[in-house]
Amino acid sequence: MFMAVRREIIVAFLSIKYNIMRSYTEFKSFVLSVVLSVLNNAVFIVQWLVLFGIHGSFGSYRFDDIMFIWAMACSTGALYGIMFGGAGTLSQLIMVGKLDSFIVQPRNLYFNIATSATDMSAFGDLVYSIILCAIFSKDYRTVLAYVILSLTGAFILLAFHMMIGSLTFWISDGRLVSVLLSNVMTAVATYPDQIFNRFIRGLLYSIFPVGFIIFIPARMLKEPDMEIILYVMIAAWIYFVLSVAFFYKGKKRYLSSNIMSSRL
Amino acid sequence: MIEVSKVTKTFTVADRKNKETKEIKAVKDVSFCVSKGEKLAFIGPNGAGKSTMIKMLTGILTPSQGEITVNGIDPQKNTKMLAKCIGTVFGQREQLWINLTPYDNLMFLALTYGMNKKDAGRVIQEFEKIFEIGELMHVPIKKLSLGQRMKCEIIAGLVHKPELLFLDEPTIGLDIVAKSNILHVIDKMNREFGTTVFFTSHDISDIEKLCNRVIIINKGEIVIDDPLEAIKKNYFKKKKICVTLKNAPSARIMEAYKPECLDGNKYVLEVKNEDLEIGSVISDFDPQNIMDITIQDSSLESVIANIYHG
Repeated sequence: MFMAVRREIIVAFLSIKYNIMRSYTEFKSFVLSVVLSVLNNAVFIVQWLVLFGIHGSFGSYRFDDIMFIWAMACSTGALYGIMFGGAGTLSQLIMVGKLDSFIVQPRNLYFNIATSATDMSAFGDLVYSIILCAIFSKDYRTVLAYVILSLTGAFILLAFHMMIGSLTFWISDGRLVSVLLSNVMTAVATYPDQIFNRFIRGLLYSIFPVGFIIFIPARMLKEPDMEIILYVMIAAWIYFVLSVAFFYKGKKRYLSSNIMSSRL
Repeated sequence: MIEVSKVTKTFTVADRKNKETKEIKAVKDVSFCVSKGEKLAFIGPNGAGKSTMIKMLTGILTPSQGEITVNGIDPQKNTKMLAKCIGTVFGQREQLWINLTPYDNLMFLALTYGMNKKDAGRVIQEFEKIFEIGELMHVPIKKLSLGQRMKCEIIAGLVHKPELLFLDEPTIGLDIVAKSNILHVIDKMNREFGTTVFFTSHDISDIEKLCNRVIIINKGEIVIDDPLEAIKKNYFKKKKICVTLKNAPSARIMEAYKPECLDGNKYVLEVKNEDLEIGSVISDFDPQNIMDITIQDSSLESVIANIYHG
């Protein structure tokens, strides 16, 4: 069991390495997407500088806190995009019958799909996030919380995308539903959870796990509490296990297809 | 190597016109065995159930009924273990990354199969020689021709030296030279490594060149399972005589054989082997009147087309 897990991890890293190699083959496009991603994120610094110039502060949050939270949100998305960029393509893979070539490989199917693609712009997010972390982190405890919560966030995002992608096993064209659910999560992630009523907040800590990716980590970066961070790790594990079970239940319904396609 | 016992695969499809769902049996109660080292052609018309069968054998689809074992493994229960002993090439879908070179693709696949870098490099070099693609190894796949790409796809299916190779229309869209090269190397793999070949194609000449046994499936059922030679013997029951005459044939010949006039003085008549001897048919013609004569077996293609039509 241990050896099998170890091998899966080695092969997953190998996939990521080859994904990066593929990105590098289009070097200009790679550099451009990284630079544009950093610039796109940098716009938010200006936006928050203006807002803090007008209001002075936002509750107990200072400019440094906001930047550090932003760093963590960026690194969560970046780690997800670099390690598990293939999860977002699951719905499409099922729709066009492209799972075939993944199934006939001697790998864990779930991770084979998840690690099959890397989002190039995620490298820009990661660079930006590390720069912000280096400038605005307070001490080693906040840096540790930043690393752990970015990783748990990336795993929760993986689980979320694999689950909404797996809906296509049941719905003939689940792509639209998948995109809509993903957009809902991104939209609510940009507001503080206090503005939502209890029912919506319940959804944000269950179906749309923004609470564990953004809201709790935001509080933890300000005042790290290892016990709560442990709860976030447990939540990430539960989401992951549920997504694996949901994916394999759906896989039994996979119908394949005979259309012409290529694995790009 | 392969044991298939009473396998049925049913798909539920939506009938949008009548707003209801109906069940379609793509494969019906199919049973067959394939021994190690065999080169089996699994053929049939479009929609006959060939691809469905291959997908069940490779663990992609789950049978609705029946049992399958491939190399002693249940493909649905242990897909990962099965993947280590089979190779797959789907002519209609590429599994290689087109912006990487064949070398990078093959190295990645070999490492995925658990080889170390040294062994992987040695195996890739070996295939590079067998498939004669040394000069292409460091060119991105997207810059290769269709035939060259297909060679790489086949190597990708063979890089871990599988005992069984599934080839689903690997020659689709290839020119005669590329086709011939690919069939040659598959045959070579079979001879050198004893690789069992499970081959589907719509090109009957491919099957004649490569396979020694043919299973024909039609409407989800096996209609013929015979060695290629037996099919030729049992189903080549007609001979075609093409004769060019100086003058029109006599009324007696026209009545007896009802030849079809192609153009001018060229006539074609079909003779059933069991009814008449070719010699007696030819002797009925006036030798002075014959300018040219050819005798042909029916093509395997026409034999199989007749079998498809029932």
